[in-house]
Amino acid sequence: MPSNYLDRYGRSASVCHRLPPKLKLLMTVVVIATGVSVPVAYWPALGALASLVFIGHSLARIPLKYLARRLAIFMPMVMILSISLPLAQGFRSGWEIMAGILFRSTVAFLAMLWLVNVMPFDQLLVTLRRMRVPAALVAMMAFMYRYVFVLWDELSKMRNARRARTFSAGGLRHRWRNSVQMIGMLLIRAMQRAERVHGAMCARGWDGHVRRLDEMPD
Amino acid sequence: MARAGSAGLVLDKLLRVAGVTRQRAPSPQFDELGASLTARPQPPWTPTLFEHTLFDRARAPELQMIPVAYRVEIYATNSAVFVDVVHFRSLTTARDTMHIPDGVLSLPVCVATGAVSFGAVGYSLHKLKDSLAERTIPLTGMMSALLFAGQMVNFPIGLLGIPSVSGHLLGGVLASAVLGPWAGCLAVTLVLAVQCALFSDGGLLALGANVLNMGVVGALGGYAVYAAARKLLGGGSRATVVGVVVAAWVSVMAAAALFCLELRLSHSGVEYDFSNVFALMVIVHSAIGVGEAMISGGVISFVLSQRPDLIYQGVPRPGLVGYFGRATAAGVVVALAVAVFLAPFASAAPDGLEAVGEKTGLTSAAAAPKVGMLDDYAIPAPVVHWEEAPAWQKISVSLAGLTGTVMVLVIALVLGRALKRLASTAGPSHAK
Repeated sequence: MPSNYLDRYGRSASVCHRLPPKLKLLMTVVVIATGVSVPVAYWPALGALASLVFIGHSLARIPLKYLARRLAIFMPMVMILSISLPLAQGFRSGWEIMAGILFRSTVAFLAMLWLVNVMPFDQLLVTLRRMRVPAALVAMMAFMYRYVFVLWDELSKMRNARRARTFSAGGLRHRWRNSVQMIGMLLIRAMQRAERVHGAMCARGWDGHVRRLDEMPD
Repeated sequence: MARAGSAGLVLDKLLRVAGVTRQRAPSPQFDELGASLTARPQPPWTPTLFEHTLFDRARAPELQMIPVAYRVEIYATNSAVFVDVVHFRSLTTARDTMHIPDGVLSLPVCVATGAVSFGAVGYSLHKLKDSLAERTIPLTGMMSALLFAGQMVNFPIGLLGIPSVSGHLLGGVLASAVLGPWAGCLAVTLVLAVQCALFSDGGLLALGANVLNMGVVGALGGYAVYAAARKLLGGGSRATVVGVVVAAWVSVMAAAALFCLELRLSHSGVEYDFSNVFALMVIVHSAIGVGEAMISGGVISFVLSQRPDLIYQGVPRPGLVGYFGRATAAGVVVALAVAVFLAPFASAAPDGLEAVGEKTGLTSAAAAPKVGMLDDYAIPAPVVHWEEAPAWQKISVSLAGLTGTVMVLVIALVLGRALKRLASTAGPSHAK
């Protein structure tokens, strides 16, 4: 799996990418908080917010096609949640809540998408660390990010192996058992790998404290 | 949730039953395979279906978590094998059903749930500092990565013969059964945080609510239920599996109940009756919970048969404080799960709701429109509507609850029996 697989647009060098990381995070939080708390009756304010987010996207040079694709995944999910509100009342009431949820969540989603695409994950980790998020938590997050790729590759290896050995997928029960055993096997391998990695870390002087290079004394 | 392409599959199935094979244009990627289409044999040969999902990485990297399914049909005759590759892209999967996006909950609710989650995560970190500090970071990080990767394994539901409807693992109870409650809570929290930060799946402000529903209640509370059930059944390997199955189902229901509560509190000023929405939530999450229980129980029983030492055995701490703490946590989670069944009943009875509303002032907003409608006999339609609604709720909710409970019991029984068989074939070393 390629290393830029998860954050594809995070590494370009637009105006938005060059902003200080803390400012990016703060801006996103402010936009989402405003979007969430503005009543639907003030829809022009929500529209202004949405266009602000859109300007942010175009400044960050995020392709429109990508946005459309992500929205195509996101919208049905929110639609199902929000349509159930008027649906449960036989379409007599609940339209207001539905409109509110739709408007706000779309604006918030686009804002969050902007942050994801202007801030690579390593930068986020450093920022979190500077914002005094507990070092252990950030270290776990870094560890997770490191090994997600490894486990994904392991999973696809296991899938290939299964595919090579089974001609037909069998019935529903068989497929469930297959999937369950695959997760179980992945769990066992992951835990064994964690033990190995831990041993290797201990051999290199790991004592439970995470050190950052820019904090090291010269 | 049906994916795009499922209608085509249903049509395929019907056609196949009728003995007709649909001719498809070969996809441009698979020209070399599609070439064999021209020579495809006609029935009476029955096609063997070989189906799997894999990722279309090169073409759509931003659809990371969205499986793109390829269906490979293999037609075998006496003299040759013909292969047909059909691919269809799926748009949504069931995995998104429990992540709350931003904009659904109000700002105060986000802040309050965030504060609770912050406290719980901080306390979990604190608890982990006591024991084995240098070991937790790799283990917890790896477990989060595993949950992340494990969510890509699809579980076909096969509803109405549509093979593309699938579910996946959520994994709170699984994580805490392997790592213990505190590290399990952290693992789920990390998964949620990274899904928010990398996929914008689940909101940034709603992260607190998501962590509360799935990390705190799902992993911590789920562990309490698991430990209580396991202890009650004697603590053997069968008790472990039954405990995981029960706890997984209960934790999903408790998360649904919490989400209902959060939704209700977020829109407390709006005149809208939420009981029908809650009934819908119960039905949907009853099914999701059954899937989660089956997956978690299956994985745990597999791990028990291969590496039983990986299961967290708990810190032996005799003492009334620890026991009562766990019992209380288990009680709270079970009560939450029960509450989701009772919520529609409670609010469907106007008298009770009025009384509660007067006492707390919380539900008065919901009671107001209902009483107004019942008073206004000049308009018959709303009255009829309200006569109908409680009956529908009662039937569906009771049915969902009953089916869920029966299903969980059956899963526990079947998995327990399978485990016994495994243990007897593998020898006495797998007793615990």
